[in-house]
Amino acid sequence: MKFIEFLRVAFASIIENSLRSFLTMLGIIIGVGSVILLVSMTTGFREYLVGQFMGLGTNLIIVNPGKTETKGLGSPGFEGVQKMTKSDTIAIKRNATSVAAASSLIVGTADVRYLDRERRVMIVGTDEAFIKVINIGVDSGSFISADDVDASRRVCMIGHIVKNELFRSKNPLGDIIKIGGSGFRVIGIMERKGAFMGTDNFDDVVYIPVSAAERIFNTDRLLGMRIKARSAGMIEEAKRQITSILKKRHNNKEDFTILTQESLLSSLNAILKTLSAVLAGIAAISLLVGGIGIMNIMLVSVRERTREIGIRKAVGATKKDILLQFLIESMMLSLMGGTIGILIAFTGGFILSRFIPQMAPVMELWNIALATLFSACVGVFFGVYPAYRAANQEIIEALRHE
Amino acid sequence: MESEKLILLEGVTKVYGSGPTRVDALNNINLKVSQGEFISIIGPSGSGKSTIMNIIGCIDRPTAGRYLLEQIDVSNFKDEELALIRNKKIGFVFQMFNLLPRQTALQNVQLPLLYSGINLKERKERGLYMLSKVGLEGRWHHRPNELSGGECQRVAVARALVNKPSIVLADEPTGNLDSKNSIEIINLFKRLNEEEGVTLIMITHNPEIANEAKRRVYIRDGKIEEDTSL
Repeated sequence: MKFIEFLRVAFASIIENSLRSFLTMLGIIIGVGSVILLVSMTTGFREYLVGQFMGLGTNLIIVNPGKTETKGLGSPGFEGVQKMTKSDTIAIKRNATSVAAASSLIVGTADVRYLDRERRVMIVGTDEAFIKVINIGVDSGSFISADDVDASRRVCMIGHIVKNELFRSKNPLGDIIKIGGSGFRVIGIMERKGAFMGTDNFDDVVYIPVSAAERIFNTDRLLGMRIKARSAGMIEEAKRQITSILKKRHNNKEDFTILTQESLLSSLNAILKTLSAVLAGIAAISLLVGGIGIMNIMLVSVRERTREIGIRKAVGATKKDILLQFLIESMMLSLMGGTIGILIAFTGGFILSRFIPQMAPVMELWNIALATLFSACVGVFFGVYPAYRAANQEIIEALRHE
Repeated sequence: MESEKLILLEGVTKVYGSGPTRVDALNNINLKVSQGEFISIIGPSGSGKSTIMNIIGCIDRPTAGRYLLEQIDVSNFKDEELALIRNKKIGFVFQMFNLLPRQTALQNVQLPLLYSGINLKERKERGLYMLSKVGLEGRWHHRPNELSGGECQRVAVARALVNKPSIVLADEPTGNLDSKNSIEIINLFKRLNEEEGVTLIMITHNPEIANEAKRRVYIRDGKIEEDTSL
């Protein structure tokens, strides 16, 4: 019951000096608010990236030529590496039992022309397996078939942006477009995929049979393969099979890199967690500054209330009672600041989610709990010294204090 | 009257500072106080009367000698033990009233009970009862700045008595009051002493006020020069 009384006294003292209390809290408000907001922004960004990667397709395995020693997004090195060709893809299709689909990929850019309109776009040479591996659908017409690849037909699928830029509202099916000077018949339009990692590159693409791409770009080197495992549980087995098949075909050299969504995501996650920690750390500095502000004001408060401390001790308050009273006050200051900070973070998060809905900040309970706990700890830590000073006032001196 | 010795000071000496700044505030004081006495301690300023009250009130410790309160030697008690004694055994009335300015009369009276760990309901009951004893039952919700000096001092007396202490120590209780209010406070003390058997020790430099007590102790240069029953 002393405790309740101390709470009341602390609250009354904070309210009585409301402007001073608010200014004191400001450091904590800014600290807690920015820690929560920054962490939730990176969480939102991470969830966005995860969504984008998962949106590529499920059970996706990426095989690129060249060996990168570390996991992650490292660019493949080409020197001394045997090229990867579409026959490698065919071998995997035939022999890897855990693989559901495998597609070849040759990528380049070329000018695409229809009548007088021209656009430089990304050309993706691939095969019929592509739409089984990558999570993308066909809007109208039909995707490149195995026959198209075998016969090296000059046919193409176009993305939405390409369609709109070259054909406007006209139906392009059956029309001929020029890709790097060669005519290709449009056999379909891809479904709108939307932005990926902030770019439009899935919709600003022309897909042609990989065999046609070999001719246009004058190479049979694949950029890589995109492979789908039969199930999530078979990803590891599929990786083993792909490795052994490719090694056998490449003179027993492991001159390729296999990536999975999980491995990509785990390295992305690691980067983002570090980013999040760094941002939170910077924001936490303002909590520290806020704590010093609390200590400063508590020292002033203890001085102002010297006489009150003397009276309380004269009627029987112990050192512990006085210590507790002032600790509660500083803790209340920082917790109130923390609460306002949380509210501000929520408001900020809400406003941000209006402006960038796809990367809306994600508030997590642990994050809020941690920030609250931290602000309470700041209150205790920076309140201890003033409270200690209060508790150790000499009664006689304190009662004489004006 | 001569029942148990409530207070026994034996050779109590208090020295402040050392070397050239050394002050001998009390020099070998021997004093016995019995249950139910009303004593005034009088002396010029700097005579040591405040020091003796601080020691009896357990807010200061003697440099040498023994202080027995209810036959217990408290001279070497620790801070926390002294706080408990102040809370249970001693009531203070100060010249400057020393009420908490932001709290109501009732809250001020209840303050010692808070530190005794008594619940809110009982605190309120006992606080209101004490306020009625000092004639302020209708003013319990007023803050000190809404009360007159005399009323403030009566609130302070109620606070001193609320935890049923063994002694009430009053340090110049009429020092900040006009003569009418001074007489009221002294009469209140006398009534409490006679009707309730409260033991009172009052410090004053005013001989008229001092003579209202039953026993007068005159201190000078840290020594008791005169101890008279009136």
